[in-house]
Amino acid sequence: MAAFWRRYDIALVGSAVFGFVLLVTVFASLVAPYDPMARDIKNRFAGPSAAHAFGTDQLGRDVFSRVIHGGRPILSASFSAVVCALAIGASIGIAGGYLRGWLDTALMRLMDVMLSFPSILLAILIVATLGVGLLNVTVAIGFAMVPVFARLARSIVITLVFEEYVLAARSLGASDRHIVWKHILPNMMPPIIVQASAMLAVAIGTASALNFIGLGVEPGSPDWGMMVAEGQRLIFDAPHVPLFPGLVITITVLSVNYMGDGLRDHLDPKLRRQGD
Amino acid sequence: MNRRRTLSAILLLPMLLFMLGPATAQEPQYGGTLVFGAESMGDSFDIGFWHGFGGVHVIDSIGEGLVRADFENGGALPGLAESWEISDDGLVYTFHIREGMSFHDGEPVNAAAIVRSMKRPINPEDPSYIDGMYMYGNQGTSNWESLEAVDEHTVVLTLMQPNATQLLVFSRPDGVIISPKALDEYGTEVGLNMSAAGPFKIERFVPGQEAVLAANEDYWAGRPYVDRIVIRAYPDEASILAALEAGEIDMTLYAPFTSVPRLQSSESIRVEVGAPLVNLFAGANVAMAPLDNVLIRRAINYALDRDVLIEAGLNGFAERPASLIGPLDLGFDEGGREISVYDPERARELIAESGMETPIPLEVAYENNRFWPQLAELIAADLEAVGFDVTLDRLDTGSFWGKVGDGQTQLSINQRSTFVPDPHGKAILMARAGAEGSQTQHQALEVADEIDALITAGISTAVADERAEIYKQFQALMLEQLPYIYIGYLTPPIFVNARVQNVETFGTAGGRINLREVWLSE
Repeated sequence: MAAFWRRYDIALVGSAVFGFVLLVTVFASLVAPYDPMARDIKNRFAGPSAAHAFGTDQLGRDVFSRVIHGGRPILSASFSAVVCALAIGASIGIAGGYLRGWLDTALMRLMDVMLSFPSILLAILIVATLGVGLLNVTVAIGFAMVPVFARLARSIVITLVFEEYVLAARSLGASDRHIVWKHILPNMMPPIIVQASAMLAVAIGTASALNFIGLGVEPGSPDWGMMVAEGQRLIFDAPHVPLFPGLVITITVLSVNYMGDGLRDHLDPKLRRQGD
Repeated sequence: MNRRRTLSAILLLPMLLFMLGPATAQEPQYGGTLVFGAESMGDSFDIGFWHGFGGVHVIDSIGEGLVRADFENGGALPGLAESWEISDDGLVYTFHIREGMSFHDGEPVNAAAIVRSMKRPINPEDPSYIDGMYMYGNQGTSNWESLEAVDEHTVVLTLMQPNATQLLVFSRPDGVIISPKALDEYGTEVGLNMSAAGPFKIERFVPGQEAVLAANEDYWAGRPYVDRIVIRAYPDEASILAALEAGEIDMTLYAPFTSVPRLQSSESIRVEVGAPLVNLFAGANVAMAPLDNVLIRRAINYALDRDVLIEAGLNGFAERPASLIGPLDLGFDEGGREISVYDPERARELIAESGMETPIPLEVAYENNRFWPQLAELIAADLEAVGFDVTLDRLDTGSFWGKVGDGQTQLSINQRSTFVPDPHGKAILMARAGAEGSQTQHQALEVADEIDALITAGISTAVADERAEIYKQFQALMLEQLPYIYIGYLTPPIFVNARVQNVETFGTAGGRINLREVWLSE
């Protein structure tokens, strides 16, 4: 246990912090001391105190309660985007890597085109086309991440199809479907999961950025990115307003990154062997 | 006796020093560079086009028209014209031009040069003519019958119809007189090489960034106090505030209002309060449901808690509103303040009377800058409290006006600041011409013709009392129909470094900074 802790200490801290953030976000209504939309005009810009741990904002709303509620849009959009991108991207990668030929060429050139756009720019382009809203932000982030998963899945599948167990299954007359489901998919999952954890951190950052520039949630809603945007003009006068949501974004992204590092160390056989 | 004299001298000396001290300290000083923080800087200063407020500040500093506006008392002050006469029928204006003036390029300012510059927008043969110079439309050129230089120092303008605002519009930025030499030499590029006759002249211009202006030693009213003005654009309010506090800029209108309480306790920065020249309002698109129903517009009017909007949305920098006409404008009717009040119960009754099912979906559009997002959130909360289901539509400036122009907004919040102290500048918002591109789409109002007739009457009448009565009728009609729902009269903070003296707060509040008489104490 001590050895496990030594090996994964940062990852465990990251996982614990992220788990805590997730729990607080899921049970926000129970945890938050105030209604995140409740205004107290006479008590605007109050600094952190016992009554308001993170102070109040320009409309007298409790920043702590808003930060607690503010994780919901970003985390739900990020999770959904990564899951969708993983499903679509892995399917494209498997199809290209397993079937090869013109289909592989066509799919990978398409992925190359998508990869040539910076992901945030691509996401902005998609939201600008589809319209403002959290659903469209999710679609945009997911779409921008598809080629990452597709490229990775293809490269793994190309290696796996020449593995002895795959060749053996094929020589025994196993169908393509059987080989993909029973032999390729289970063996490609560890690196895909590691990639997904890394992309989750990117997705949280991107969702925050899109909400910051007003492409996601409705103005005034509790959301980390939106709160930083609304608070940026107050940076000199009421720094607690943008500071706390900004800090929470940073801590969340860091914890997801550390968690991803631990997953990689644990799931990568080469790294695990070195550690053993 | 000697001892008594000595004692008296000892007592009197500090008193004398005290009396002399402040007088010496208040003596205007020449020299120094004043840096003004602007919200934008255009790519040209062509007065035929809008280049943002940064451009207006430059044009106001380098240019001069036939007259200047007296923002404090209303009316016109002498400019390039030292005096003028208006015929009894209000159709003939005779301007007597000062002698001995010159443009920045050394060309003499005379009647011929003035006529040449004023005719630029209506003379397609002029080498500087550009099709579509829309800002010149404010000069009333379509109502000019003739404009002539009758001798070297006399200009005569004859109108087709009387226009009570004609004199004052010559004080607008688009009324600036440009040197004929510059018009010939630079043609359509004259905006990059402006030569006018104002108190400052352009020394250096970096498009999109800053303009450096040097004092005009030959200015007719005497050289301005400061040697140089730098008008520099900053990307947002936070960076303007940082620059102000760092002493990088000396004056601005564009720092966040929320910073005022802190800055007021600063020894190095002074906050002055501008006059209520700017009207903040929500424009209701009367051509689109549910705002085509006057009962719903009235419900919105009573739903808004102006005290909270002013306190929390504008940090207290506004007066409670009355109507479209401002408190310093001719014909202002104080009675409007009794209609622009908070009465949520009345708002609910009006919604019930309208027969509409609640919640009533309503989109509120606004620009994503300054205090607009904060105001929009407060307005949304007020409206939701009486039975509306509000969607906030936060847009950048270009998209906002694009959507307004297409008639696609429902309730859109914005402002009106006029460049001259006259009610027509606000009333013209309700003119039939241009209605289809406006926030209110008021061509759909049944009383659109009646409103239009009052606007026309307002500028066709030269007698002040008669004009005032017309604008009172106009206000009554506007308050009955409520195409605009009033939020407040902005009294904007003017942020200045403590060394900046003699700031004129009236014109500045309307976006027309006057740096001619500003001086620096160190």
